[in-house]
Order: sequence, then C-alpha cells, then structure tokens
Amino acid sequence: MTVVETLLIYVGIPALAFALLAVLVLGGSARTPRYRPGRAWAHEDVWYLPRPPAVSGPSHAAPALTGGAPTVGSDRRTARGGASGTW
Amino acid sequence: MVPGEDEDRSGVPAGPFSPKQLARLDEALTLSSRETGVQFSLYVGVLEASPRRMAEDLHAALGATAPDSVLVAVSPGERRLEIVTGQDTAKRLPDRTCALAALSMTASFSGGDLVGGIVNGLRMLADQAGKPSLTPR
Repeated sequence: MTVVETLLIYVGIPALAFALLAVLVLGGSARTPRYRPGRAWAHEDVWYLPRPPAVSGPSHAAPALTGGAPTVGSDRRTARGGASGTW
Repeated sequence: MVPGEDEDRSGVPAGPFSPKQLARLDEALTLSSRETGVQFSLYVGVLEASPRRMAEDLHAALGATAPDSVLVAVSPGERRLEIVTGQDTAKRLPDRTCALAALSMTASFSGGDLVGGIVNGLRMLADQAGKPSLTPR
C-alpha cells in the first residue's frame, strides 16, 4: 500500500463521514426558526383559528375578521374568565 | 424580520413557525375544537402595555362566535400568556382549569418549547372542556 492509499483510506474516509454527519446535523436545524426565552420576538403577529368541520363551499366559511389593532375601549365585553401567566 | 431570511422559504406563508410546527398547531387547534365544540383560537404576537385588556379585545373581535370561543394569546417577546374564555366556555373551563393549563404552558415556554407548550395546553383545555353537551343551552 502506498502512502497515498493509506492516507485516503485512514484519513479521507473518516473525514468524509464526519463531513456528511455534520451537514446532516447542522443543515436541518439552521432553517427552522427557534424561540429562545429572553430574545426579542421579531415576527409579525399571527392569529390562527381551527379549520371548519367540513369544507363545502364558501357559504359555510366563518365571517372574515377585521385586521389591524382592535378597537380599545369597546363597550362590548365578551370575556368572562381565563388565566394569565408569565415566564 | 431579518432581511433575506424568507428568501428560501418563498412558498411558505410568512410567520414565526416552520411548516412542520404549523401542522402541529393546526392539528391541535382543529382536533381540540372538534372534540369539544369550543372554538379555540391562538394568537401569537405583541400584547402591548396591558396584555389582559388587549387579549380581551381580541376575544371581543371574534364577534358572534366569542361566547363559544377560548382565546389563547401568547406574547413570546413580552413573555406573557393570556387565556380568555367567553360566556359559555367559562362554565366549562373555570379559571382554575385555565390557570393549570397556563402553568403547564409557561413551563414549556421557559424551556424554549413554544409549539410544544401550546399543543399541550390546548390538549389540557380540551380534556377539561369535555364533549359538547347534547342538551340545548
């Protein structure tokens, strides 16, 4: 076995395997946004509603919610209870 | 939003969650709402200076479905969670139940698991709310 062959087998192959594992581990998580407590939250506000039970045309769709900031100080209160939490 | 962050995600709706996370949230919201007859809705964003007031205003913005709705409002930036129940849902989900779910959620949030906390909290609320009643209210 020549020196080149020895190097290729005992250094090249482990290095290749190492690089492949590194790409698999780091490449997957880099794209997923991750929340870390204490960091600023720089995403836009989102509001999710459950899917309607059966999709059978636009006539059954829920009325569209008006966007933007809610009218503060509206006299119609719908809240009856709940809970708060901080972390 | 960091410039260039959503360049390689052009087909994905903009927002704080990955498609896989969105699928989990969608499943949790839809299943808990379908099982209980309660409309659960989830708000993730800024809650401003008076979070409780803002969450109640959001709940009021649900309009005709507000009495049957439960709003879970999470503000990751301000580290604040609000659960708001309506006229009918408050009977099925008393404040003590909501507080227990909130505690479980904030425990997950403080560990950095935003989606897991929301999913578990919704499951706890749905379990407590039970099946929709057959008798008319």
